[in-house]
Amino acid sequence: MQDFEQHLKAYSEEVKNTRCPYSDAELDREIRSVIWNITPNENTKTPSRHRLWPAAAAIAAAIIIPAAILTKGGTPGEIATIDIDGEHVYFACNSGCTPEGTLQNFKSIIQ
Amino acid sequence: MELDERTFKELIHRHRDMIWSICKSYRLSEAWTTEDAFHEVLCDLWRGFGSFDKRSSERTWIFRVATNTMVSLTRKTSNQPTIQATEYQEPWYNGENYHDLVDMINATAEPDRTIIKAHVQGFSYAEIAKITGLTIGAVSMRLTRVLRKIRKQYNQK
Repeated sequence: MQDFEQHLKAYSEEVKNTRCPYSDAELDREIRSVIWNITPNENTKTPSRHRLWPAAAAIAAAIIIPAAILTKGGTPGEIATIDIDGEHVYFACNSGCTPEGTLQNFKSIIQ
Repeated sequence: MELDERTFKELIHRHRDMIWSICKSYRLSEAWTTEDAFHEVLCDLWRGFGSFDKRSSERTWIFRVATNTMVSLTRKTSNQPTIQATEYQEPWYNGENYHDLVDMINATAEPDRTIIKAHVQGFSYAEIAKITGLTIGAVSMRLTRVLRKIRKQYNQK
């Protein structure tokens, strides 16, 4: 019984003391990407942003993806923007895709 | 930058820790990181920002929107593999019984899960009532009941 109370209290303390790991600049960038892509009160599907690749692939992706999109000559499926932060490659999807759906769309572009 | 955008930015900066904490406290599929969830919550907050009428406090409004987003994401990804609390390497989860408690809270049905999460965030019964749309009496009764239930499960482990 005592354990439960202690753990519940510890959980509450941890929740209240959790800190967002983003720096001010990183948070600003997140907010900016949201503001640029969505009109307030817009009643559309949720844009989603998924981290799919580790850093090692970042440079290759930066070259391959734009080239592949150009080669295909069309819209890049559901993928709206690509963002590389030095650690990961992010794909933003404007149609409420699941992470798996976004990856599938990405694969269809580069194939 | 327009006034609204600046206000929104300031609002997010003020409440970033709570938003992050809410995102982190839900179990999503392996494909989702806390960063992804955080971004989804920001999208929903910005989308609803124009209709925030300030009848409730901004903290209450943010909690409500963030929780709704997370509940919806949890539902959408419920058929995908989920990261268990025991697989987390975060300082939150530092003991077997503690894992059990966090998992039990996450396994609780709505609206009780939201009530517990708001309670541990430090919201008052009146604020939780605004968040959930229940009466203060109902919040109090549900919280007592659900904590009793979890305590019983916990002690049976």
